[in-house]
Amino acid sequence: MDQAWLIPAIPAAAFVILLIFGPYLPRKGDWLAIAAIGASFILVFPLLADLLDQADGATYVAGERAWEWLSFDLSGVGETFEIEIGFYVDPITIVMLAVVTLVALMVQVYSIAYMKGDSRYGWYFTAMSLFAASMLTLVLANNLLLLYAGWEAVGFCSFLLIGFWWEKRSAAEAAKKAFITTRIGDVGLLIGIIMLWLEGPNTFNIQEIIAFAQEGGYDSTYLTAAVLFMFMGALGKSGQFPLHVWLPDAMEGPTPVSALIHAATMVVAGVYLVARMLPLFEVADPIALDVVLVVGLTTVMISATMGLAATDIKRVIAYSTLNSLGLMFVALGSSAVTAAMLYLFVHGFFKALLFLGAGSVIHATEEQDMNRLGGLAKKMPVTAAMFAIGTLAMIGIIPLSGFWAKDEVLVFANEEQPLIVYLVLLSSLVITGLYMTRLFVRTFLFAPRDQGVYDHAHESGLLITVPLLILGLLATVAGFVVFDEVGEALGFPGGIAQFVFLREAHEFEFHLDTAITSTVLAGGGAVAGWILWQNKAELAASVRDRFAPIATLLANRYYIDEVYQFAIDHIVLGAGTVVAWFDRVVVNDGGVGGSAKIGYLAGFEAKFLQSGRLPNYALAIVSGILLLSIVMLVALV
Amino acid sequence: MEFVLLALIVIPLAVCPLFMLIPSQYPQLSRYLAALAGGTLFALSVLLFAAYEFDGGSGLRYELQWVWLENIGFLGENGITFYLGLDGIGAPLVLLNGVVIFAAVFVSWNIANRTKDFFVLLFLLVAGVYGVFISQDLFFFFFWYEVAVLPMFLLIAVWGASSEFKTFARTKEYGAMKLTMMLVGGSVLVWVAIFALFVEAGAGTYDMTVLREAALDEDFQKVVFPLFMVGFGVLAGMWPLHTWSPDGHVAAPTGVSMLHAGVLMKLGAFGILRVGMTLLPEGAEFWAPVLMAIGVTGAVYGSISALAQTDLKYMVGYSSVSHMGFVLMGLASMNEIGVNGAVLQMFAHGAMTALMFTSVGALYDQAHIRDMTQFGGIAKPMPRHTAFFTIAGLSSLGLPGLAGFVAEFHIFVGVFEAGYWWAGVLGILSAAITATYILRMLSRAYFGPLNEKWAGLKEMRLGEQFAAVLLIAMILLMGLWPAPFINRISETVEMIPGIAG
Amino acid sequence: MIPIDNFLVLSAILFSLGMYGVLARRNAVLILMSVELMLQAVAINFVAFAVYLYPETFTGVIFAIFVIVIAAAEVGLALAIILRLFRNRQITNVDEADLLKW
Repeated sequence: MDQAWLIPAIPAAAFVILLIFGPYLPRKGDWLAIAAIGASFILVFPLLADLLDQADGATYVAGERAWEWLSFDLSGVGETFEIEIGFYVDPITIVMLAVVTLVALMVQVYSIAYMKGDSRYGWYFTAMSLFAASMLTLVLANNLLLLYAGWEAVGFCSFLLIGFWWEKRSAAEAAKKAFITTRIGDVGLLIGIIMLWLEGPNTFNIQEIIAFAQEGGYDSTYLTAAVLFMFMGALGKSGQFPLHVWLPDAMEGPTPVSALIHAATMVVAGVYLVARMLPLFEVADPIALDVVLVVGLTTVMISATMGLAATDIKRVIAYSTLNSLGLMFVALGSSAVTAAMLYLFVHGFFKALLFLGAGSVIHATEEQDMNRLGGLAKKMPVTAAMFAIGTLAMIGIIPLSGFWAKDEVLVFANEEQPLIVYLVLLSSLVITGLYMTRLFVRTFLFAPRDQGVYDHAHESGLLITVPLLILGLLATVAGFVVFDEVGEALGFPGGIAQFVFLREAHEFEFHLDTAITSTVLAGGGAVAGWILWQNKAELAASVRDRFAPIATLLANRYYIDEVYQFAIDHIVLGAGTVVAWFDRVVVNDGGVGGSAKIGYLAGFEAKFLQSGRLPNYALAIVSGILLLSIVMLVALV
Repeated sequence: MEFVLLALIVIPLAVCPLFMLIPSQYPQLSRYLAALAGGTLFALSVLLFAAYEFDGGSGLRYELQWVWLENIGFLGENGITFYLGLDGIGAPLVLLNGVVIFAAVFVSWNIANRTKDFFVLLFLLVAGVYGVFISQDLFFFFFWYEVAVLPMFLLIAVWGASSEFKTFARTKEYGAMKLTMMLVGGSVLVWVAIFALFVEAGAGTYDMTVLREAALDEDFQKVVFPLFMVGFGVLAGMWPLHTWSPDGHVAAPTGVSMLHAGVLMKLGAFGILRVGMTLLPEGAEFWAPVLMAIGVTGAVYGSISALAQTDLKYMVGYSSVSHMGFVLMGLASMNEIGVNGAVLQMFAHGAMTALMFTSVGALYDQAHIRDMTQFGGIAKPMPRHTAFFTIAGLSSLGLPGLAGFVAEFHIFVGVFEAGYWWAGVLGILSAAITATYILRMLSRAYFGPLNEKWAGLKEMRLGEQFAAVLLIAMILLMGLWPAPFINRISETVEMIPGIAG
Repeated sequence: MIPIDNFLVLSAILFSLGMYGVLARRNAVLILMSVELMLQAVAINFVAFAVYLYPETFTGVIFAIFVIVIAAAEVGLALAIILRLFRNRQITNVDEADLLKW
C-alpha cells in the first residue's frame, strides 16, 4: 500500500524528463513514456495483492497514506486547516487502476505506429505521460482537493491532446469547447467540495466526509445541494446531457487519444466520482439519485439516436461512448456500484478496441467517413475481426464482456426503478444494436463505396494489430469476472460482485428472463441493422426518406449545439460587449472623463474673468471691499 | 539581516546616480548595471524570504528604527521614524518584487530611447515599492507609496505607445495622465485618513506598531476606514475606480506594465490590509460586506469585460481587474483562510500577470499590433512564447498545480466560510469565465492555421525567455509547494486583530 | 484745537478722489497720481490719529513716513514699468495693456 504513490509518480517523472530532455533522447523518448506506464501497470498487482492480503472475509480493508501539503492553525477556533496529498486504495480504485494502466499501455504501444512521422511525435508522448500521471492521481486521491487537481489536470491534457493538430481550425475549436464545457461543470464540483468542507469535519478527506455524512452530520437539504453541485462536475467530464456536446467534437484529436481519454479513462472519471461519493448520494435526499438516473437515461436515449445519423466512424463510436456512460449513470442512480464499475471495467476494453480499430482503418485509408468506406474486411481481416468483437460487446451479445455488464445494469434497473426506466433501457438496446451494426456493416462489409480509398487500404502492422488482439481478447473475457471461479483465480473469491460493492456484497445472479429479453432485443436490433444497411443500404435510405424530419433532427444532433452556439454568441459575448461598452463609455468616459471634464470646464469658463485690464481689477477690489464693509456693518448693527 | 532589508531600499536609490554618471552613448553599460542591480535585489529578496521565520508577536523581524523627527510640536517620542521591518505578509511580496524587477530589466533590454533615464525611473519606482512593503512607520509608508506611484507618469508618457482602435483612440499621454490623476486622488484620501488616525490615536507617533495598540473609537474607525478602502482601493484596481489600469497597460511599455500590474497594484491591496484592516479592525468589519460586494463585482465585471476585448493588452488589463477583485474578496472575508488567500493571490497574480505582459510585449515588439483577431496559428513560429503565455493563462484560470489555484481556492473557501455564499459562487463562476476568454484568445491567436502574414515571426529573445522562466518558476513553486508561502503568511495574518479563525 | 473730524473728512475726500481717479482714468500716469492721492489720505489719517489719540508716542508718525517712503519707491518702480510699456508699445492707456490674462 505504501508504494501506491509510485503509480502516478512514475509517469509524472517521465513527463518531466520528456518535457526537458525529450528532443535529445533517442526516438524522442517514446520508450520512456511506455516504460513508465508499463511500470505503473505492474505496480497495480502488488497493490491488489496487498489489498487481498488484508481482506477480512469479503470485507476489504482500504489502505491509505498521506503527506501534509500545507497546513496552518486557525486562531481562535483551535483547529488546523490542512490539505494533504494522500493516496487511498480500495476495490473501486483497483478496478480503475487496472483499466487506466492497461488501456494506456496498449494505446501508447499502438501510438508508436499510429503517430509515426508526426512532427510532434515527442510531444505526443510527453502529453500522454502527463495525462497518465493526472488520471492516476485522480483515481488514487484520498481527498477531494487532490481529486479536483487530477480532475482539472486530465481536462487540461484532454485540451492539449484534442488540439494536438492545432493547425486545423476545427481541432483548435474542439479543444477549446471541450475545456470550457467541462470547466462549466467544474464550477459546480468546486462549489460542492467547498460546501462539503464548510459544514463538514474540517477535512477534505473523502472517507472522513462520508463517515461524517453517514452519522447525519450534514443537513439533508444541504447535502443534497452539495452532491448535486458535485454531480455537475461529473456531468461535464462524462459528457452527460446537457453538457455532452464536447465529446463528439473531441474526436478531432488523434484516434489513440480518443481511445484512451475519450473512451476508456477520462470520461469515466465522472462515473468514478459518483461511485466514490455514492454514500453521500444515498444519505442525501432521494432526489439526488433520481437526478443521476434521469440524466443517465436522457443521455442514453439521445446519444443512441444521434448515433444512428452520424456518418463519421469516430463520431459514431463517440456517441456509443455517451450511450455507455449514460448506462453507467443509470446504474449509479439505482445505487448499483457493482454494475457501474463492472460496466466501466469492460467498457474500457471494448471501447478502446473499437477506437483503435477505427484508428487502424483511418491509418490505412486516411478516411473516416462511412460513406466512402466499405468492404474493408477483405483487406484488413484482423482489424475487421477485432472490430466485430468490439461491436458485439457493445451491443451486448452473450458471452462477450458487454453482455454481463449490461445485464447487471438491467437487473438493477428492473429491481430498483419503475418499469418505465427498464423499458426505456430495453428500447435503447435495440437502437444500440442498429447503429453499431450499421457502423460495422458500412465500414467493413459489402462493396466499397470509394474505390480509391479501398485500393489504398492495407492491414496495419504488428504494433497496431497486437494491441488490438490483446484488447479483443480482454473485451471477450473481461466480463467473466462476474463468476465466482474467475474471481477466485484472480484472488477475489465471489467474483466482482463481492469485490466492488457499496453496502454489502451480494452473489452474482444470472437472471434468465432479463438475459433473454435483452439478448433478443439487442440481437434483433443488430439483425435489423444488417437488413437495413446491407448491400447498398437502399432500405435504410427509404426509411430515412420516410421519416425525413426525424432524420434531419438527428443529423443535426437535436440542434443542441446550435442552441449553445446561439447562447454563447448572443448572450455571453453579448454581455461581454455590453459590459465592455459600459466600462468604456459610462465608467470611463462618463465617470472618470466626466469628472475630469467638470474640472476642466470650470477652469475654462472662469478664466475669462481675468480680462487683463487694470481698471477691472481695481473695480473688483473696490466693490469687494465695499461689499465686505456692508456685510460687517449689517452684522455689527 | 536588518541591513539586507535596508539594502533593498538603498540599492535601487544608489544606482540612480550611478546611471546618471554613465554617458548616454553607452546604453549597453546602463543595461548591464540594471541587470546587476536587479540581480542583486532578486538575490537579496530570495535571501530575505528564505530566512524569514516567525518568532512570536506580530511577526515582525529584522527591525531597524532610526528617529527622523521627535518631540517637536505635535510629535512625541519616536514621532516620525525610519522604521523598517519584515513580516510574513511582506516577505512573499518582497520576493515578488525582486522577481518582477529582475525579469523586467531583461524585458526592457531593448529600450533604446534614453535608456539610462528609463532605468533611473524604474529603479526609483522599485525603491518605493520595497519601501512600502517593509516600512513600519505610517509616514514613511505613505512617502514610499508616493515614490512608487509618481515615476509611472514619466515612464508611460515618455516610453509608452499610443494606440488607435476602431471606435476610439488612447494616447500614451492620456493613459499616463489618467493613471497619475486617479492614483494621486486616491493618495489624497489616504493622506487625510493618516492624519485623522494620527490625531485620534493621540500617541504622537506614526509608528504602526504603536498605532495598532491604540484602542480607537469605533465610530471613528467606521468613518475613516472607507477613506483607506477607497484610497488604497484605487491603486488596487477596485471597481469602479479601475479604469486607469487597462488604459495604463495599453499605453505603458512592457517592463513598466509588468511592474505596474505585477507589484504596483499589490500596494493598494497591501495598504488596505496593513493599514486599513490592521489599524482599524472594527471599521473593517463594518465595511467588509461592502468591500465584498465591490470585490465580487470587480471579479465578474473584469472577466466579462475581458471576454469582449480583442486587444491583448486590454484583455490582460481587465483580467487584472478581475483578479484584484479576488484579492479584495479574500480581504473582505475577514477570516484567516480568506486573507491568506488574498496575500497568496497578490503573489500569484503578480507573477502570472508579469508573465502575460512579457509574452504580449514580446509579440507586440515584432508584430506591432496586439489585435488577437489579426493573428492565427502563431504557435508555429513561436512555440516557446505560446507555451509561456499558455502557462500564464492556465494559472490565471486556476488550474491546480499552478499558483493561481492555490490562491483562488483559499479565497473561495474563506468567502464561503465568512457566509458570503453568493460571492463565492459568483467568484468561482468568474474563474470559469476566465477560462473562456483565455482559451478564446489562445484558440484565435495562437492555434488554427498559420496566418501567412506572420510566418516571419521569430521566437522571443533569450532575455525575455529568461524572464519568463524565472516567473514560471515562481508560479510552479507556489502551485506545487505552497507551504513556504502559507506558513509565513498565515502566522502573521493570525496576529492581525479582527481576523477570525 | 481743530477737531479730528476735519482731518478725517479731508482724508476721506482725498481717498475718494484718488479712488475715482484709479477707477475712471485710463492713462497710466494719472492712475499712478491717483494712487498717490489715496496713499496720502492714509498718511493724513495716521498723523491725525497719532496726534489726537497717543500724543506721547511716535508710532503713527513713523508709519506716515513709511507710507511716504514706500510711495516713493512704488512710484519709481511703476514709472519704470510705464516707461518700458511706452517704449515698447507706445501706449500709456491701461486698457490696451491687457496681456496679463490667461
